[in-house]
Amino acid sequence: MKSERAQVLQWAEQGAIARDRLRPALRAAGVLPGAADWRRFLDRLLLWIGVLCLAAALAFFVAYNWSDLGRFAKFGLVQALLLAAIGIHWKLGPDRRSAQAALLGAAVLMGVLLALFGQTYQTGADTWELFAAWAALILPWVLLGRLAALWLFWIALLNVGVMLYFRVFPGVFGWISGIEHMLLLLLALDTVALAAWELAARRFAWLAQRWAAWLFAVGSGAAATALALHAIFASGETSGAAAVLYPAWLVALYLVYRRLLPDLFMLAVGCLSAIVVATGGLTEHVLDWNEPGGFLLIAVVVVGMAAAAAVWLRRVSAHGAA
Amino acid sequence: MNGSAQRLWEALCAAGAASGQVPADTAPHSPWYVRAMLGVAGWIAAAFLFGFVGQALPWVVDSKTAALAVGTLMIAAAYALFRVEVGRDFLGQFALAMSLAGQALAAVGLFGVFQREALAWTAIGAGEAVLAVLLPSFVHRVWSSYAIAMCVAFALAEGGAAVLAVGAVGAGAGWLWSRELAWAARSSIVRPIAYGLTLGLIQIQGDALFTQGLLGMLAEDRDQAAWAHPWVGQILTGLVLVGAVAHLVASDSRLARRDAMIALAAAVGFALLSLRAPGIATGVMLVALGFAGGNRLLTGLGVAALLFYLGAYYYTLQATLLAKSAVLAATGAALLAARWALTRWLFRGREDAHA
Repeated sequence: MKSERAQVLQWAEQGAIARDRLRPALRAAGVLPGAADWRRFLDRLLLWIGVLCLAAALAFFVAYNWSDLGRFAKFGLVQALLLAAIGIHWKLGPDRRSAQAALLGAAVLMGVLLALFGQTYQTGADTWELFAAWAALILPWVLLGRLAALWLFWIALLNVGVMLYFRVFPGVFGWISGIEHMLLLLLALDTVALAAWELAARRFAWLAQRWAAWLFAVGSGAAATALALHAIFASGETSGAAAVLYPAWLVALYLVYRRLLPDLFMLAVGCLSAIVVATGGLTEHVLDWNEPGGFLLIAVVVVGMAAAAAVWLRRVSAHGAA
Repeated sequence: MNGSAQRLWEALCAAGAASGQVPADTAPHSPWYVRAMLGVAGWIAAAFLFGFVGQALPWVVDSKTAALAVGTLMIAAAYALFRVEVGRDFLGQFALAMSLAGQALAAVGLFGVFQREALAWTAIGAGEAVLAVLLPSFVHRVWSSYAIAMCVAFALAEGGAAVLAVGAVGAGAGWLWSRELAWAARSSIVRPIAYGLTLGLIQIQGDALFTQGLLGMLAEDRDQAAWAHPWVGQILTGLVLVGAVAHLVASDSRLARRDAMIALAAAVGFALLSLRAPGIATGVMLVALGFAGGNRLLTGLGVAALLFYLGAYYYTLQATLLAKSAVLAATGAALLAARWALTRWLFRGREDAHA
């Protein structure tokens, strides 16, 4: 499961590839970019940074709330650029790289337009409502855009929306605390996103990018871990849902990424989460803050768990490569 | 030896880059995320070990000499454990935790020994440099070199030259990455150190964007040198980017002269942009070094850093939002115009020439 790069560099370190042959070897392995790769790279770098800078420029401009410019001029500017971005996307067709960048730019500009609306008419809406409306309004573009980055952006908007919502209504749901409810929602959101992504990636080639699934897994894992820690350290204020949900999440992660879609990264996320939660449990129930033995015990247990995880992951990796 | 390694070796032999039998697989391989997991777990265990020492031997933490001595002993014991081959996974992980706790303890001692913080940071950084080379663990080397980066930045801030921090660490990271292939025989030392400096660089550059950042607060308490204007640091960072790209261009003998000039001009352009929107030069350098070396992890780190700096730019206080908006608009327009010019004139009809 080593990458070609790691493998060739290891051979070079072993002395199996002479120093002056290393560059040709990396080229033959397809690791080093050729001139055409460089041109494509520069092309994309300039395009994506350029579009992001322009979209951010407009967002900063609106946030500055320049009083010298009337409200119609501001709306006109944002709407004209939004229309221009959509027009570019429509004219170039969905598969061109520049069209996709224009669509992502338009998705950002939609948020700028909503913010300008809230700023101008003082609608009194909360920030989470802005994010919810933003996500809802760009959903059609996300569905039609066939662009992984746009889906990621959309899920990120929902994540931020959920977090902002619970800043406004921390304890509105009575019997469970606001933090727990927020973590439950984030866990559900990112786990569903991960599952949907994995299913969709089998049908649509443009979604088959592991790093995106990894990001959702990190989001889902962070929420699951925080939920379990919250249940451990604030057990009086929680519903106890974590006692069922956290093990279920861990088992599901194992079954899916050990059996169905082997993926070492996901298993490593599960291992780290389990180590952190187990440490939390030990700290709460075993550690006496005035007694040194507990500190040493937990340190040794953490070391043992990490070493066991490393051995297991390496075995899984070797098994997968055989 | 698995099938894919066999096929890769055969491909290298066919291209004339290797010959003979496929070498034996000596090093067990761990991907970066497994190492990251081990690093985090190592720090958790280290915190508890530190707690253990603090509770069991409170006088050690209270005395600068004892803290320094016990910390050094713990690091020496970790070094011995790293060398043991039997039960390497458990002992190696224990050694990592013990070394980290020992370093924390030794740092407490060093701050007691040196009256001036700049000297303490310099001493800690020098110690970490020794550990980065000596201790035979990828995760430990990444940590130690990250610590070197932070110590360099803190020492500069305490010594009145905070503005040089990004450039100094960036120069170190850029230099090591550009030597990666030349020093391939020492890859297991060079690569983790380059990653550690890179992580430190990303953090220091991010921190430098904020006046309320760690560096900013350190620098605020100390008189900064008369020449230490922010633009001095930004010029240095830009020069580091140009230097890194120049080295990349020079080391690729197959690059056409015109492409080399384009790459250098692009580097100068990004360096100039970075004077107004700091962070661009650092992010672009990491992306370019990563792409040039076929290192997707480094490229990804650079892209993530660039996105973060763009977001952080909103909160920096050096300019009004209107001025920043103008800078970004001009930057975006210039980049898209450059792309248009490249595809229209320079790259046209050349897709097959070098493919």
